[in-house]
Amino acid sequence: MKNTLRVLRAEREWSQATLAEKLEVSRQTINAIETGKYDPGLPLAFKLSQLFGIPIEAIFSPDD
Amino acid sequence: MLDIKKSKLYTLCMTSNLYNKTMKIDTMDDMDMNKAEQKTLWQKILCGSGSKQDQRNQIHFVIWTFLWALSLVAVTWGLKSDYDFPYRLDWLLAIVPTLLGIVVLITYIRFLRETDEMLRKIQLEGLAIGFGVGVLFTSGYQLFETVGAPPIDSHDTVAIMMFAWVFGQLLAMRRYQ
Repeated sequence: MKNTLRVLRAEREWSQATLAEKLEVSRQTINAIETGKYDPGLPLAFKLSQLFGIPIEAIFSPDD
Repeated sequence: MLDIKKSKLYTLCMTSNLYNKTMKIDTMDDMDMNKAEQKTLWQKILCGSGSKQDQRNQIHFVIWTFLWALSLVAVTWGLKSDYDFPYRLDWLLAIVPTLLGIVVLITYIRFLRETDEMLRKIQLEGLAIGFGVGVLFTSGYQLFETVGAPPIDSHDTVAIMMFAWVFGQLLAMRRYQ
């Protein structure tokens, strides 16, 4: 899965640690999602969607 | 024509602005990562990692595990000594490590339930490796014992399972780093 997490963070000037705190997950989890090493489950994907105020499809897209 | 120029300029400004912000968050992430890497192994074990809740749960787990190990050593040493225990006190002492072990189990399950999904996956992989190595070692070594290998203590199997569990966790953590 590809994702736009880094861009969304950059727009808000949030570090990985800041985003991790807002989502109540570890910084390592945010890093693993951003680098594509880990795909989050639906609950975390929905949390991200709510936090950024955009649909899940705008954050995650399947690999081509 | 002017609108197109304005639009291009706007896109350029936005791109440049976003680039600067990306650089800024990269620096912030690097600083966080350096801070995490500067921690010694003992600091990592004693202070835990992950979210604040995970850190708190990990500290509880480490403290109770330490108490369990300490009680196991002390009670084993006490029961093997020549001291003449009053009526049934030796039985009461023998149950102490098991009771503390139950608390360790409860703290670990609480940590697993409350931790985030990726760390839970890392723990699952660690447990799978720990349990798998333990079963394979125990069943495999029995065959060696029948052909003359020295018999092993059940404590050795527990130690091997625990080392394999930690090794499994490190392996999984490395994959997601």
